Amino acid sequence: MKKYSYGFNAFFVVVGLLFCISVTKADEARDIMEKVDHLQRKTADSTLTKARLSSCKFGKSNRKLVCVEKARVKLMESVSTQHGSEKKDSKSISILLEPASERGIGMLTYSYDDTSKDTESWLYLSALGRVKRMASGTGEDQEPVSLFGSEFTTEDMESGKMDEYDFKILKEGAFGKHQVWVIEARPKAVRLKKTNYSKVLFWIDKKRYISLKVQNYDKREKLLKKIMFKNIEQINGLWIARDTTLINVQTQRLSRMKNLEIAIGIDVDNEFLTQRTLTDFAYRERELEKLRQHIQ
Amino acid sequence: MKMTSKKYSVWILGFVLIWTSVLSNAEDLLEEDDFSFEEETEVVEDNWRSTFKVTLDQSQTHITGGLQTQRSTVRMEYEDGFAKGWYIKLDSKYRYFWHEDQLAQQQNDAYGHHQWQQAWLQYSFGACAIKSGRQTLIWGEVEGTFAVDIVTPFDYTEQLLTEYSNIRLAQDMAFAECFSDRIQTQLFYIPNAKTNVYRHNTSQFPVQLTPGTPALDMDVDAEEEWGGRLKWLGDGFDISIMVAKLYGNSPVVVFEQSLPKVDVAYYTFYGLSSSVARGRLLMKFDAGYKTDQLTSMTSKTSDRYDVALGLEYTTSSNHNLNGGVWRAGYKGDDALDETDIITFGWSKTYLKDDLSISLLGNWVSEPRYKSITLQSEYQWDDYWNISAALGLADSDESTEGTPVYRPDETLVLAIKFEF
Repeated sequence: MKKYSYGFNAFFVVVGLLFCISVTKADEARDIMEKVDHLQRKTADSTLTKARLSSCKFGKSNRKLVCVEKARVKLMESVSTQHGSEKKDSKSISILLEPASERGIGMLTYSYDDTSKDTESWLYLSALGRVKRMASGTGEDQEPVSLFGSEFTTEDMESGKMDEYDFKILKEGAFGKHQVWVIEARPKAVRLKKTNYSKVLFWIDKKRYISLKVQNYDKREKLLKKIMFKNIEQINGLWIARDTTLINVQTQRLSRMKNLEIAIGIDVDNEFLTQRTLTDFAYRERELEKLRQHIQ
Repeated sequence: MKMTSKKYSVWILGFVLIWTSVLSNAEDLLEEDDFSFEEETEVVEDNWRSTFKVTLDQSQTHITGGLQTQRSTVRMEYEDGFAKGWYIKLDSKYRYFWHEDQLAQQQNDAYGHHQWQQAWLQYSFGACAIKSGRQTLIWGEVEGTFAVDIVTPFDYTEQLLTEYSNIRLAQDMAFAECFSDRIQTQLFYIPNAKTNVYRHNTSQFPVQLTPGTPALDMDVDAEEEWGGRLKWLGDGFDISIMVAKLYGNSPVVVFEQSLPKVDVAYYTFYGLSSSVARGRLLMKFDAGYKTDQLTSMTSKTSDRYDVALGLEYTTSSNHNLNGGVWRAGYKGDDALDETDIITFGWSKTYLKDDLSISLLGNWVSEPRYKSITLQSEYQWDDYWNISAALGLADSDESTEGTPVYRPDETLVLAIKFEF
């Protein structure tokens, strides 16, 4: 009986220890992801980017992925700033430069970390020459939508929302030349109804706290997307990937976002992120020219 | 004994398989992907193409009984911030009306027509910008209603069902806009106002009141127009007030000392507009009051009011639903009946935004008219765009022979190449 009791206690001690280890691991995973998220937000603060987003159906040739059709290309110039006490609110403006059919379309967006506060956005329709207020709600109960017709969705570009996931470190070790944590993010019940994914795996560089790779799994836990981050450079003390390729393994389509020009930590005039920039083209170009001086 | 050994073998095999699978999964996580993506790099630099755009367009409209329109268009646009604080936009359009096009048939021959869609110069300084040249000015929030969107006339020579960017007729205008934190102020001045255009190269629309009498020419010379708008931007809403001195966009036949003549109203306009966003619901409101409106075929004038309410809602699965109600009425004892217009619509994009489909319906109380239009647009690649629209209409009165002929069945097909 005593022997049984010792065994019983030992079992609970082991289970307890395992639980503590797993809780500690989960906390560690969350701490890591919060740091990654924090740094990612900083890269969006007072930032100018000119990005080229191309999408195509792909095939393999000489073990390399190649587009098997002419890629659709969008070129856009964006300026964003972060606001609020924790810099979790954001203001951004994006102007489409290519293709010609969409040139001049501009989108101004104010989004808030407070989930009860609606995102405010205005769209400048160049064909009609007018600014239209959009009612996009908080975005919280909306299905993720494709970003400019690419394989990236609004969900792939989201930051924050740490409370809506459970994190777990799956593995640590060398991934190529870098030491990484492989962290699993599983959506909690609150997130499940508005996500396309059952889980997301992140390969986080231990030194730079930046994602090197991300894998998204569909609701049946099957691999859906692989996202690879390349040409990671340090700009103004922040690590940023200039080249992000997303492969949708189910649709056999890929999208590549290349940051052709980046300026971080620039002094953006408060007035620039207002409706004026959508219609006062002379002002927009004058201010952009000032910001472009800081491109690295 | 044999059975037991077999049992162990199955267990061991199962264990090995599971363990191998666990190990292989674990190793996969740290194994580098062997994929690398090679893309034909297209160097994107600032060049002449980024400031220049060419659009080639071919469209035709089929109605019961044959072709209504058959047109080819070449449009060239240039825009550039050519100097610090300066911006220029030139937008020129040449259209060719083929022999079977109804406008060509009115002239008994095919013809070409060139026009400057836009041609303006903008200068920005301090908190203000001035823009001078040919341009449009669009006011109001409720799309498809024209309670306050009355400054810019219409070009009814354009295809009305598919191409909304061309159907407004730009005017030569001086325009100033100032911006402060929450307030936007606009002022405009038009030295020679235009009225709606229905035809080219000939009198606008000759009206013969009775057989044997000379036809009346619907061309009217309008003069100076001016006005302004004050817009207040709140959190989640905008409010605008507008005041203007304007000419009517539609010439009407009136009687002056018992003699018929064509005229347009010269009136004072007061407007109020607002849009409020709550969640994914956008509520829109326009109200306009116009003095001294001419009543067709009389010598009377009366004041007119217009009120329009609109709702727009985007569902969680990104279906866009919209609806609007617009009432126009006249003041006075002999006032005309009120006109009610109801609009409703649905739209959604598919195939990564390449395909857009929309449905638009409207119902007019006086003269009684209802129509529904199904429209689709497909972006084949970055250059080619194909669109089609099918319109069905039902009217109590025939509009045949009127400036804006609305046939019962219409099919529009258009193909566009932009680079």
